[in-house]
Amino acid sequence: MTVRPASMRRRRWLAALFPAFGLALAGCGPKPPLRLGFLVDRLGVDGNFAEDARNGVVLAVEECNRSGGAAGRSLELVVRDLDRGHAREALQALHAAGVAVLIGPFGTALAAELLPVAAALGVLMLSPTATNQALVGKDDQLLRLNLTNRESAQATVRMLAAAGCERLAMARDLRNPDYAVAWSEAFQAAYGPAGGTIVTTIDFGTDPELSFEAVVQRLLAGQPQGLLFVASGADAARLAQQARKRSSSLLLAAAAWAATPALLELGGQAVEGLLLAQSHNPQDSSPRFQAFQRAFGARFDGAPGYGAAVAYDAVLVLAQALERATPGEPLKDAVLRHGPYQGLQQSIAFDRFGDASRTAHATVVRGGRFALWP
Amino acid sequence: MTALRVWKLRHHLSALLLVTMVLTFALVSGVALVWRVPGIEADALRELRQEAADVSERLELLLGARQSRLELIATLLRGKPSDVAASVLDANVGTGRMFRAVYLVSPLGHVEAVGLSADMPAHGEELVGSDLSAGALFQAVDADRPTVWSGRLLSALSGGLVVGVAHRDASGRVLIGEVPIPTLLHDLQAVAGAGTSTTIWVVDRSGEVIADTEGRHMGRLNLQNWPLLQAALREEQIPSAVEFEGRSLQAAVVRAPTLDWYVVGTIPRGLHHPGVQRALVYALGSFAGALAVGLLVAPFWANRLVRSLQEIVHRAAQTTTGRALGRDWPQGPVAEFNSLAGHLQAMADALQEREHKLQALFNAAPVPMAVVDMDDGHTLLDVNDAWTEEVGYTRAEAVGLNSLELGLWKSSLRRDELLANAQDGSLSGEIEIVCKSGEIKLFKSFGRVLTFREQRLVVWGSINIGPLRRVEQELRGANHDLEARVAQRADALAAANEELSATLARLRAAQAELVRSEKMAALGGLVAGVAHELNTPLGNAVMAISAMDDATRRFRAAMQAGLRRIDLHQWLESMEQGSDIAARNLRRAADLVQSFKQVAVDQTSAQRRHFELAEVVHEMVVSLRPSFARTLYRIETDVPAQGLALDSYPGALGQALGNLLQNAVLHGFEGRAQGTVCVTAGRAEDGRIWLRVTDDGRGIAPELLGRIFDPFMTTRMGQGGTGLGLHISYNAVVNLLGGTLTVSSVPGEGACFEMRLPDTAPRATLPPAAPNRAADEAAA
Repeated sequence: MTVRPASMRRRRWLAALFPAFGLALAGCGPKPPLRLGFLVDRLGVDGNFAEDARNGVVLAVEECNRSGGAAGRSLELVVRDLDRGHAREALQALHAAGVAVLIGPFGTALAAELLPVAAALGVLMLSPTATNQALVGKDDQLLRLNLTNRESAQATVRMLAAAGCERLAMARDLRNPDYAVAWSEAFQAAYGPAGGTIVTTIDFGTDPELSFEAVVQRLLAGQPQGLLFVASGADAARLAQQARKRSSSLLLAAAAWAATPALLELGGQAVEGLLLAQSHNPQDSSPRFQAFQRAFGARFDGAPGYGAAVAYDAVLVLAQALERATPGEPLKDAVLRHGPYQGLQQSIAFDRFGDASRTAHATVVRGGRFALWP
Repeated sequence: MTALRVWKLRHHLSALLLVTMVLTFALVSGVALVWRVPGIEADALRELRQEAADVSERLELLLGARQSRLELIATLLRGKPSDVAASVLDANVGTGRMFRAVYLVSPLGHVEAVGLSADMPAHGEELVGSDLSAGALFQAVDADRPTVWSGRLLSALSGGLVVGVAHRDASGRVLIGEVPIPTLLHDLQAVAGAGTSTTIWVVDRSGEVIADTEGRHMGRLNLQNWPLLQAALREEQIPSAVEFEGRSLQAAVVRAPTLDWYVVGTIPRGLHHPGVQRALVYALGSFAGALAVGLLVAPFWANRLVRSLQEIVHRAAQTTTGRALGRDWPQGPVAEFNSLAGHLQAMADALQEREHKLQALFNAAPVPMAVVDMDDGHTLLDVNDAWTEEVGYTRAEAVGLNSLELGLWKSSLRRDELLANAQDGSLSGEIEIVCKSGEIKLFKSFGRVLTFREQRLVVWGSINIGPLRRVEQELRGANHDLEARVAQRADALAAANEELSATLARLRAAQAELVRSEKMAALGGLVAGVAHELNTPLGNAVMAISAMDDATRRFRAAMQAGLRRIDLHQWLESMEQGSDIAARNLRRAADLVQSFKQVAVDQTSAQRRHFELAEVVHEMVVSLRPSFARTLYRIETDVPAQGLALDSYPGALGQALGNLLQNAVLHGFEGRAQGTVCVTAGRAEDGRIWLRVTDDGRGIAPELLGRIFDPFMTTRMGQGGTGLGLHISYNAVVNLLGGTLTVSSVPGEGACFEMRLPDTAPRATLPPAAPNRAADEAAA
C-alpha cells in the first residue's frame, strides 16, 4: 500500500473545500456581473454616432445597476475600440474579457463580418441598428432591434411619394456596401411600383478623388426632383451642403443611416427639410422618453440622438429578458422567449429568428432638429 | 490524523537556517515596505500633481500657440475679401504643423474661405458656401467667449472627430481651426514626457476623454460622473485616491483654464505603483539574495554538521544489518553526536551480546527450530543448529526459501493441512520431512504464531519422533510376547503350584511320619536307655548271684574238705552280701521297669486322666536320669507333690517335658562340663499351672528365639539332631494340653522354657477310638 503524502491529502481537502465555499458564496453573495461589450468606431465616418450610442448604453447600464441590476446581476460595460480591419480580434478580446453580450454592431456589414466569430464564441449580439434583409430570418447569434431595410425603404418611398417626388437621384456610400446596396435595392424595389424613377445613382466613398461636389453635380445632371443619400449623417450633410449651393428647391431625403446628430451639426441650414424614415420618434413626449432625455442630459451634458435611444433600448431588452429568464436558461433563448419588451418608445417583440419589428417614423429636419413629418 | 512529514536532519537544518534567514529578511523587508510605501505614495502624488500641472501648462502653451496663430490669422483676415482670405489661410496653414484646416465662416455660418494643409485633398475647396451654422464650435463662440476649444469637433472636411478651435472676430466672422486627434495625441505625449509611469488624460467639460497618453481611452470613456471629475467640475477638494476599472489609483486633476479642459494624471496605487514596485523589487531582490545565499550556505553548513551524524546513522544501519560489528564508531566535530555515538556503540554491543545470547539459545535448543514469515509465503527466516543437523541443509541454504521450495515435503497437501490447523495461534502436527539426504524423518512439530511489528512470524519446534515410534513399535511387540510368556509362565506356575501342593502334602505326610518316627525313636532311645539302665542292676544282680554261687561251691568244697567255721562264716557273709546286692539291684530294676511302663503307657496311649504334675515330672526325671548319670549335669526339681492336679494328657505332657530336658542337655550344655537343669512348677494368679525348665547353659541366640519352635529348627543338623523336639513339645502343649509354651533366654546365661497349662485340657474333638493317632496329629 502506498501512503499518500499529507500535503496531497491537504490539497485534496482544500480542493474539496473550495468549491463548497464557492457554492456557499454563490448562494448567498452577489451574483457575478454580466459583462456587456461595446465596440466603438472612434475615427469612423459616423463621427459622433458611436459616442452617442455608447452614451445610451452607458446610461442604461448605470440606471439598471442603480436599480439593483438585472435579476440581481449587475451589468458591466466593456468598451473597446473597433480598430477597423480587426473587428473579429476586437470581439475575441471582448469575449476574453468575459463579455457575453455585445451591444452592437451598429453597421450591417460589421454584423455580417462578426457573425461567424460570435457563433464560435457564443457571444450574443444585440444590434440596435442593423437592417440588412440578408440578416433577417436566420437563427443565429444576432438579434436585431431595428427595422429591416425593406421596411425602412418602403417608409422612405411613402414619404417621397407623399411629397410628390417622382424623379430621384441617389448617392450611395460604398464604404458600407452591405447596407447601402441592400437598402438602395429595397428602395428601388418599392419606389418603382410607387411611380418613382431613380434617374441617377452615384456611388462614392471608394474613390478619394471623387469630391462631394462632383457627386452632386452628377446627381443633378439627370434633372431630378430630389436627391436621396444612402450615406452616414456626416456625409449626407456634406452632400446636402453641395446640393443646396446649387438648388434650394431640391427635395432632399436620406436613408435612416443618416439620422445622426452629425447630419444636423454638419448640415446646418442645408439639411432643413431633409426627409428620412427612422425607427425613432424624435418628438416623443411620453414620460418615459422625457425622463430618458433628462437623464441623458444630466449625465452627458447634451441631448440623446437616435443612436443613444436604440442602444438604450437594446440594454432595456437585455435587462428585462434577464429578469424573466428561468435559472440556467441561455441568454439568447431567454431574449427570444420572454418578449415582448418595453422599449423607450414602443414594445419590442422578436420573432423566432431574433428579428424585432419597429415602427418606422417619418421625420424631417426642421429647425436644426429631427421632427415628425409632415 | 495527519502524518508528520519526515525529513532528513540535513534538510531540517537547512530549512531552519533558510527559514530563519528568509523570515528575518521577510520581516525586515516587510517592515521597510510598510514604513516606506506611504512615503513613496505621498512623493508620487506630489510629483503627479506637479506633472499634471506641468502638462496642463504645456498643453495650454502648445494649444495656446495654435490659438494665438488662429487669432493672428483673424487679424490678418480682418477686412479682407473672401478670395484674398483663402490665400491667407492656405499660407498660414502651410504644412499643417499647427492646423490641418482652417475655415473662415461668415457671421451667418457660411464658409467663406478654407485653408488646407498641403496633404489634404484639393476638393476641400468645395466647403466654401457650406452652412456650418449648426456646428458646435460656431455656436459656442460669441462676443463674450471669442475663442473656444472643442475636443470633439465634427470635421466639416472629413465628417470625423477632430480637435477644433474657433475664434470670433469683432465683425462676427468665425475662424475655425481643425487639429487632427493624432496630432493632439502626439503633442500630449510630447508634453507629458515619454517613459513616465504617469497616465495623463485630457478630458473636456462633458467628461469625454479627448486624448490620453496610453492612446486607448479616447471614445471609450465618459468620465462625467466620475467622482474625481465631479469634484473638479465643482471645484471641490480632489480626492487623491480613486477607483478606475477596478484599479486603485492616485489621481490629480488640473484645469487648463484657456481650453476649459481638465488634465487628469493618474498613477497606480499600492503594488501597481512603480515606486512601490521598485521598493518591492529591492525587497524581493534582497530576499531572493538572502534566499540564494541561504540556499548556498545552509545545505553546506547543514551537511557539515550532519555528516558525522550521517556516519553514525550509516554505522547504525550497518550495525543493524550485522556488518561493521566491532569497529569503533565515527567521531565528528559535534560533542553531542560523539556522545550519541558512544552510547550507541554501548547499546549496539549490549544488543549484539543479547542477540548472540538469543542466537546461542536458539541454536542450543535441543530440538530443531525454525522461524518463518507467515506473510511471505512462510519463508524461513532462521533455523537452529539442531534443525540443520536433522534436516541436513545449512542455514545459508535454508534461509530465504520456504519449506516447499526446499523440497521438505513429499506432498504440499500435508503442509496445507498443517497450516490450516492453526488454533489460537498454535499449530501442531506430525509431519514427514524429506531431508537433504533424501531420508524421510517423522517429526512432531509445534508452531506458535507471534506478531512482531505487524509481521506475523511462526516459530516452529520439532521433535524427531521416528526413533520413539520405533521403540514404541518394539515395546508393543515385546508387550505382546510378554503376555504370551506370562500366560505360559502362569501355566507353568500353576503346574508347579500343583506339584508343590502335592509335594507339600507329601512333605506334610512325611513330616507326620517323621514326627511319629521321632516319637518312636525317642521311645526307642528311651527303651535303649532303660535297657541300659536295667542292664547294670541286672548285671549286678547276676554278678552277685554268681558270686554267691561261687561261695556256695567253695563252701561245699570246704565241707567236703573240712568245714571250718571260717568257711561257714565266709559263706554266710558272701551270701548276705550277695543277696543284698542282688536284692538292691533287682529292686532298682523293678523301679525302672515300673517307671518305664508308666511312661510308655502314657506316651503311647495318649490317655487322658487325672494326675498330679509332680508324678509326671518325677517319672520323666527318673526316666531321663540315666542319661545324666555319667555326666556332671544335674537335674533338680522343685515341684510341689500335691496341689497341682490336672485333668489332662500325661503322656503328652511328659513327652513335652522330656524334650525340654533333653534340649537343655543336648544344646544348652553343649561344650560345657557341667550344668544344672531346674524343673519348677507352681500355680499362677490366673489359676493356671506353670512349669518352668531352666538351665544355666549357653542360652539361645536371639535370632533363633523366634524360630525355636519351628519344625526342623536345629543347630545340630547332621550331628544327630532332628529339629523336631521343641516343635513336638510346642504342639503338644498348645494343641493338646491347651496351654502355652514360651521361651526366654539370655545368651551365655541359659534359657527358660515356661509352660502354662489349664487344669483341664480341652476336650479333643477327635474320636476316642483312635486317640493315639489324634495325639500324633496334634503333635504334628
